[in-house]
Amino acid sequence: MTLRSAVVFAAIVLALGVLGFLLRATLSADAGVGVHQLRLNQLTTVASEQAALRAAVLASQVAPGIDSERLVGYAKQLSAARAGLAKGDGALTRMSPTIDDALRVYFAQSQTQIEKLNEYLRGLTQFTRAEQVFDQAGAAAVQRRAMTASAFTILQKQVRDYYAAPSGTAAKELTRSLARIDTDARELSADDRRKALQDLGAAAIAALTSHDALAPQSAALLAVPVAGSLQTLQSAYAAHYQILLARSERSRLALVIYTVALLFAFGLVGLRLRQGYGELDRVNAELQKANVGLEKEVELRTGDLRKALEDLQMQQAQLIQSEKMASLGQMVAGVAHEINTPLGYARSNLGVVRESLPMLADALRTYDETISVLRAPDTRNVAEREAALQAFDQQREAWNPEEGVTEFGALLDDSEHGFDQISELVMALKDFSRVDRSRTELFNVNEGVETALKICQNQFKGRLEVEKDFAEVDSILCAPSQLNQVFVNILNNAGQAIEGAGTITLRTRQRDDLVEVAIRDDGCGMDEATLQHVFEPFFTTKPIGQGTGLGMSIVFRIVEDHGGRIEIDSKPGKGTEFRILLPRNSGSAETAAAETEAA
Amino acid sequence: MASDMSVTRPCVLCVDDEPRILFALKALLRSQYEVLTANDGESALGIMRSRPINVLISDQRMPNMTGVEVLRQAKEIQPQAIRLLLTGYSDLNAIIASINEGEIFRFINKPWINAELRAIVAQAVSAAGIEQLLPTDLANSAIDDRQADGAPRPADARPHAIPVPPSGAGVLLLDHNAQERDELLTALGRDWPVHTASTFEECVALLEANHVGVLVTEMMIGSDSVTSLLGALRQHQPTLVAIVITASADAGQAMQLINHGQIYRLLQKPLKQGVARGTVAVAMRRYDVLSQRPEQVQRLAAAPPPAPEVAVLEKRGLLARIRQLVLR
Repeated sequence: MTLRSAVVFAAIVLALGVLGFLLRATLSADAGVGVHQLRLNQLTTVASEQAALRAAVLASQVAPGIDSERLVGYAKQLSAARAGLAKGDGALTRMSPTIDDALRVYFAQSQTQIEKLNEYLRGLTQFTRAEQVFDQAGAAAVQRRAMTASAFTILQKQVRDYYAAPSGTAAKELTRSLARIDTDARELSADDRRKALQDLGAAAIAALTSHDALAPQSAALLAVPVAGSLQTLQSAYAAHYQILLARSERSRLALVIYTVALLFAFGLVGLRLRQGYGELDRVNAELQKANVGLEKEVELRTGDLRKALEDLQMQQAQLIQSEKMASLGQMVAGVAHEINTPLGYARSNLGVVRESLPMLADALRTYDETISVLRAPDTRNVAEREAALQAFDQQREAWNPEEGVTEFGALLDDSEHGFDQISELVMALKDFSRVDRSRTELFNVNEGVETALKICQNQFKGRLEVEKDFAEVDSILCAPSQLNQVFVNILNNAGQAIEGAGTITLRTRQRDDLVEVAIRDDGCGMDEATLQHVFEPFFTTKPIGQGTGLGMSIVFRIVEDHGGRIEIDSKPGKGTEFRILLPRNSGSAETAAAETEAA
Repeated sequence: MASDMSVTRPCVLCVDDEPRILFALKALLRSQYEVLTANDGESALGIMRSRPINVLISDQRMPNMTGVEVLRQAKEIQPQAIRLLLTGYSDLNAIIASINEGEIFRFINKPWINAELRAIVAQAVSAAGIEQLLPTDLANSAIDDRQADGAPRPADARPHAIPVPPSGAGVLLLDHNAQERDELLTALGRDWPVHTASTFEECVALLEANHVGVLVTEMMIGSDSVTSLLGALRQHQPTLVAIVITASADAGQAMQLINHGQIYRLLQKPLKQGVARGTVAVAMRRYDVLSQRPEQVQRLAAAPPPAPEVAVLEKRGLLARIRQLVLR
């Protein structure tokens, strides 16, 4: 999972990086447009300055009036323009080897040009000076009347024409004029005039000579191929710029292609995503549907389970109830026998007494008659008295009042005893059930064990010996009817564990804070396996149909609810002892009572 | 005069661990009978070995020896004596044992009604007055018993063995469960002619048409208890010997079967074939005796069934047919 997301992340970073790189490549050409313009301007400026210098040089040959200052100015401007190519924003250096080469060539030629220019300037200065000398010589000649002013003007014009076009007619005319001057000078007598004229001729020749000296210099200067090398530089730069432009174009194209590809890729991803989402939606919808179905199913199952649980709880409650009813039934049957016996003889005796009452009445009547006969003052005759006495004797023979009354007494005594027995049993039942008492109360377990014993008595009667070993114990706060049930259940089990004759020992002891009730039998005992399950619901060792297997589990629950515990010692064939240990005050007795009641 | 009465008056022996019961019974019965009492089973059996009695009334729950055991041994000592069980409460097993082993005449519940008890004892005394006849082979086995006991048997209590030719009567099986019926049919079919019925109506029809000596019936036919039918049959056709089979009888039903049906045996399921055959064989010999010596049925006189049960039969038109039955 993390590996996969890392790969995806790297791919995204790579794609964005490539995009940035291409964007930058594209923009770099655009960003160079301003610089490019500057460079082009500079190159143009240099070219124009160069042309201006060249023009000025050419003009300086033709028109000697142009002073060298102007040429120097042009040269300075050209130098400044050239410096821009080497340094500053518009410099062409370090762009490409070709440009650098061209630049080097150009700057070398520029250096040569400057040197040639300086030579030329020196020549030009000499020329200017010779010119001035010529002009002064002319003026002096004119002043000394060695020559007319007009002739000098013509000479001047001829010299100027020669400057403009040194070959041709101008040169011939000038040569003639100079020859004439020379001739004229010889003709003149006056020395000063002749000298002036000779000076003029010499000055003119000197001027012409220095002018002619300029021609090779200017030719050398103009021959420096700066324009060509500038052209080379320009074309190199142009070519470089073209390359840049082409590269930019290429990257632009690449960017476009890449962008398109990226868009396509995004589109694909989007499509995949869309499909994925579609699939996801579909799956989600199915899931939702399944979920709803599942919920319904779960609800249904839950309902079933709840119903099953309720059924189970109901069945358990019914089972507990039926166990209660079964043990109640057993108890009632035993008690019924216990009650029926005294009731049997008490009722029968009363019946017998009542049936005998007519005989008693007969006897009394006979007695009365006999006595009245005997008492009569005019005692009739002996025969009548005899008859009366005989009837009396017969009566006594048939039913002896003394014996009868004695028997009545015995019968009624028995009846009374029977009724006492019955009321005692009923009292025990009432004690046992505690229906007329509060649910929780202080209770002496000795009394409880006695009551339980009375309830179970009919099972034991004649068969089992019961030994009681009761100690003074604290009364405990508990639900007496429930503890009675515990005692009865264990006593019943003890009685059933003993086949034939045997002994049940009941013992109560105070053990620190606990009250101990021990019920021991010398019956069949339990093996290890039975002991392990003895408190489990539905575990029974009795034949099917004779026990629900709930008796001991109810015992366990009641004792536990009272905060007590049960200890068992049992050996197969030797017998079993149950020890119930109860705290003096079980705080939960009330709730225990309520719970067991509810169950 | 007292010695005269002891000779003429029938003797009733009462056994109970509660002396007051004995005293009450004595007060109740001594005007008509000679009443002997015993505090436990052993002393009662001792009395029976020393002198003949007519009727034995025993409690069921007693220390050392239960009422059923007393009745069983009393039957061996004096088969002639009529046995009654007087009980406040008995479990089903005790009642079934008292029927099958004690062959008792009636159950009497504590507390009893004096008039009813007197009537039952009177019936018992009159039944005891009929000399008991046993088929030869049964008598022989009874004599064997006596020899095993080693105790002398009172001469007048010994049943007279009579030779009884087999009557050739058949067995009627009444059971609505076809499978169980068929199982019994295979068990009994080899020895006797067996007729099968699944309803009261079929049963009565078969009785009308066939010579039947022993009726073997399930306790419950559908939703009806067979008690009413048996009561009516006992009332009008007392020679028929009834064996009831049940998987789940309650004590009350068992008591009714004796008191009103005088059934011969109450058998519990599951029933082994050998037990079924043996029981039917004994019942059949009893029928043979009863059919040839009709006065013997008095020893098996039953109390009339309660009115509501008779009404049920009457409604179904069965009572009239039962009355007119002529058992061949």
